[in-house]
Amino acid sequence: MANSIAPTYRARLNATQSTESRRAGYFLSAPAAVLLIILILLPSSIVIFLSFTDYQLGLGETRFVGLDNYAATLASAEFHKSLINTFIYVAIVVPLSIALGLIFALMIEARRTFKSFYRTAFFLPVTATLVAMATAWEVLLHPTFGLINTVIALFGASKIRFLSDPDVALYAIAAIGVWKQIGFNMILFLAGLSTIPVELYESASLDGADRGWRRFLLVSWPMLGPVTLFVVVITLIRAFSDFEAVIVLTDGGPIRSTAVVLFLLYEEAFRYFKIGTGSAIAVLFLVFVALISWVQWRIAEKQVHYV
Amino acid sequence: MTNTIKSLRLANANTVKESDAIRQSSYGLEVHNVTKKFGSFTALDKVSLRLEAGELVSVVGPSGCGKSTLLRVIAGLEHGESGDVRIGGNSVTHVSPRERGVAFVFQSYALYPHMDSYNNIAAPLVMRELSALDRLPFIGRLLPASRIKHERIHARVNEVADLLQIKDYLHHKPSQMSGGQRQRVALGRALIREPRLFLLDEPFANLDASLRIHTRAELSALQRRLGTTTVFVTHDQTEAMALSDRIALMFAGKIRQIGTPDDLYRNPVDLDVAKFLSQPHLNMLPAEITMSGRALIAGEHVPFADALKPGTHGIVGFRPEHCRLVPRKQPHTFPVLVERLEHAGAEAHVFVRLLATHESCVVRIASYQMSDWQVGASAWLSITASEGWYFPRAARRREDLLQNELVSA
Repeated sequence: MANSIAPTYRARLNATQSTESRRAGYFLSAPAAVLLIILILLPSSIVIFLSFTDYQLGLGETRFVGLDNYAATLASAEFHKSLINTFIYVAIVVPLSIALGLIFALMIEARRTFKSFYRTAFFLPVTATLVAMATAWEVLLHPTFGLINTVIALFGASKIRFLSDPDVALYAIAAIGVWKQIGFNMILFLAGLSTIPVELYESASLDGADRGWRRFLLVSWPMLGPVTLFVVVITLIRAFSDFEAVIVLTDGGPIRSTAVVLFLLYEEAFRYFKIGTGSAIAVLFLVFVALISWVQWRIAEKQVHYV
Repeated sequence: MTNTIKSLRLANANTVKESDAIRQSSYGLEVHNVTKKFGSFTALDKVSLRLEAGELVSVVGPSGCGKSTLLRVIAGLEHGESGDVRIGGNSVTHVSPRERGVAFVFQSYALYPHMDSYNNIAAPLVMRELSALDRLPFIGRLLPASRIKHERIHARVNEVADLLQIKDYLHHKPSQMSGGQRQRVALGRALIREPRLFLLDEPFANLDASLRIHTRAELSALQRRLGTTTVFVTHDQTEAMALSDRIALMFAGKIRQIGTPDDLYRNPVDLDVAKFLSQPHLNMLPAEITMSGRALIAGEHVPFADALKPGTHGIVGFRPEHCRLVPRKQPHTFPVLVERLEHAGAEAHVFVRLLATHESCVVRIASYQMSDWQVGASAWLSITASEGWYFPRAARRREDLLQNELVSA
């Protein structure tokens, strides 16, 4: 799409634009460009620069250490552990929050009444501050008097120490991550569903796919392709960078079982004030997430855009 | 073009054999007293319509008259509050669209954008004839029973593609095709399962003028060849005239007149019908019928062949081709001022204004006669006595025409 439009557009620009209107263009885009530089490009450049130093907050002397920070980070067992934790977290949050978001969107779309009530109810977790909601989760997940354990006890099973059992804590944190992301994905899918032409459903109903699974596979799912791609990428990026719940509820523990990469970064930079190491982790993380998103986009884009 | 002619010739050669075979599998359609409301708006008001098996009937009317709603009720995409729809004599009012066995061609074509033409055309058969197991990739083809089904569908798609001459772009997706090509694929999807009815909702509206005429001819030939009962909705009266066995003209949720194109054109039941079927527009002059049964128009007594009820008021309507301009005063003519001339190819239109009443009329002349008239010139308008109609105020011109149709339905 973009490729086919860009050349003719540019040709027209060259043909008709005088220096004056070009200057006006620069002038008009200046505020946005300045903000972009100040808020994104400059800080990122500083982070990249700092990652090659041993800068520590509060200490005067700073030396240039080349790739030492990267070498140390890549070699550390702590970093490996946090990578694995992050992958487990992402592997749970991304598919579950997307699948459930889609299912809720389809169920709400199919309803005739209370549509906006359900839409709002499921979207609330997105608008609520996670730090505040995490407290509610802490109460729900409490090992002795938490609601969830009370229910589990009703069925005769032994209680689970959700946030203090190293085998369980990461999954509990992931469940909260899913809960938080579902509403957002659902809203995106609802928006996608609302753009599907009614005639396609009608055509499908005449063709013999009038409801359920067949109709979903023939119309809804393929037509949701572009939205789904967007949802997958955005959920991936969000899941990779989640760490509020970890800080509030488990502080990386027990025995580092919930220490995800961004938590490690936070610890290095803001607890131990090793800004250099923290910056190196940040850069590695940025490159990594950008790479995954790019690959994902390249692979999927060809398959979901039909027009 | 040559291909079309060839296929038409083929069709003619097989007419006798084919028509015998097809007439038996052809279904009639009856719409009986269907009413459909959207909130307080009545889209269809006790509409009745009856199609013989194999007939092509156009439903025509201005936008918002309910013609598309009627088509959608027949397809089962909308449900009327009352009334009955029968296909082949069986009521389908409570039957799902899927089970009605009708094919619908949407104005937007509604092709599945992620599928190529082949799969779009195959979709109705795939959805109907294949089980979930058959439709699985790879596995489906390994089972002998489902391989036979797949092969049958493949053969059918190719057959339809041959018929519509769309083999060249069977593997193109809708976004890669022109409007005309998409339109054919949409027709193919409708044809493939040998439906009981074709329902076409303005299928040519998105095509350019020359392609529209070409496709119209093809559709007509195809419909005659297949003999499938067809309801065709359009707002284009020329298209309806060209294609239809009969035309149903709708206004405000009601069918005003059903008849052959010639019936409608020559014998409109009321002013609305006459106006709708006139180009560029119908000439209308207020008239008074004297006790002696003569029409008094703009102070002039004019002889008129149409039925004139003495002592009534109404409107005399006549088409641009039902009148002529003369340079000098003659009996029963009206003095007019030439206001505008329009060239329209073989013919031309002269817009004139009556000096007596300031009403405007349009006269059709051959375009080579255009030089005879200048804007601002004076002339006399003569209405052909044997043509034109008298529409009494607040009454139909001919009550009998519509009634006959409805009684037989």
